[in-house]
Amino acid sequence: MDLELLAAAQRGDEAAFVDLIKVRSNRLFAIAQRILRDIDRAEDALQDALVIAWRDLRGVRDPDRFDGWLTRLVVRVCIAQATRERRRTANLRLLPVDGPAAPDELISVADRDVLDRGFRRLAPDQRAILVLHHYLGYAPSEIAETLGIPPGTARSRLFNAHRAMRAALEADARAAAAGGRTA
Amino acid sequence: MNEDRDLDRLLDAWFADGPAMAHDRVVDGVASRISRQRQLPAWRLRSWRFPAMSSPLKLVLIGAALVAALAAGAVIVGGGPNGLGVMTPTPTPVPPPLPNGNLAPGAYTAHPVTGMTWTITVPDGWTGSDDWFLSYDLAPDTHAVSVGGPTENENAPADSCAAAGTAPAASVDAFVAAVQARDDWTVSAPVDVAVGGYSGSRIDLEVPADATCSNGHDYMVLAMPDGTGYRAHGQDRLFRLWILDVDGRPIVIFRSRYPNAPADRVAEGDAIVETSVIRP
Repeated sequence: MDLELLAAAQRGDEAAFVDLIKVRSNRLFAIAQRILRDIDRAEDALQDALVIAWRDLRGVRDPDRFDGWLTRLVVRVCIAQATRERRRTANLRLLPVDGPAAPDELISVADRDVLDRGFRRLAPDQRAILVLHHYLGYAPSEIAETLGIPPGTARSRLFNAHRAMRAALEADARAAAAGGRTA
Repeated sequence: MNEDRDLDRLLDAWFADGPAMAHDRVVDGVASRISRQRQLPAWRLRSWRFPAMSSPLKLVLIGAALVAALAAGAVIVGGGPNGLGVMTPTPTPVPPPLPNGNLAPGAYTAHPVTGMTWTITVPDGWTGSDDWFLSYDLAPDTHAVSVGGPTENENAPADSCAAAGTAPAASVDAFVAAVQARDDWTVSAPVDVAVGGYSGSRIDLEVPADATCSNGHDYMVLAMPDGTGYRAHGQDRLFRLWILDVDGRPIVIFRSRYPNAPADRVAEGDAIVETSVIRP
């Protein structure tokens, strides 16, 4: 943590803030993209979150918690954006899947598509919890701190998110078997 | 258990795969935007860490803080030790966040647009959801009257069944013109209004009773460039839009209703909108 940069940014030094976020933007973007499953929306959400971070930067009293605070802001903005999208367009539509299209050794294209469809069916906070757990490797206690919820709640939400994902995948498999529309 | 491990493994691999580089335009955009965004002073910002505290402890602390505040207030308003009294501004309480589910009558705060706070006052019988939406339901998930909080970057699409690519309206007048250009909608004359301290236009519109899309798309009434927005569905096809000029941005609040919605509840929906306080 660069304490001098943070202190300067908190005094209103815009260049210092830009330096602070430059080294963090890739990680934060990856989180946003995985929650929103769309590069453009992830970029918009990340920009919004970072502008809020600038606005509220003077509220960060413990520099060691700056990264956690930033992560929380990004996740919250992504959840809010996904919630609005979900509510405003009730019927989920298939969007292009962002990211590399080439198959890799661990996961097939078919698996990726099924996971993408299932993931889009989840509530936004469930998506965020799965990203925090499986992408960032957060334990429930860290998820709790990031989302501002009690650890027990984080555990149960993680359990429910897994259950919802499994149900979404099963629904997808049933729809595929029936030859119907899957999303 | 094996299925659990399989799902864990799949999710680990799936999330590990994918874009992990932010385009330079993200940081460039932030740099441009923060030059127009003032930082809030520290005293206006609460500490973000309050999560792991148990609810009973939280209540005890909140209660203690209230007692302390009341005691301090009594000393100040009562004149203090020298009996002179001090004129202090009355703090404005912040209404609670709009919850999901049935709402008790009262004021609530929502955040439909990032960085914007929307406060409304709601009568009995209404339901809130997703930090931007209120409804009076005749039955579960049957929104006879709906109120949607302020949204931006929208417009009336030229074609409701092909809304992707809809350019956001640049002004209130442009938005009204786009609505009036829809000759397949029944559109009222715009009325000048002021809501929440912002001026603009109010306009009513009705989409056809058979408003559906043969191409499988949703029939959009309000649309953003990516084609998402708010759709007409089923009986929910009578709309009232408040298009407000908020610091140069056209911001839209809507109330929609079923044709058979109770008139008093429709009036309540309009009244909710009229109580709006918008803080960009």
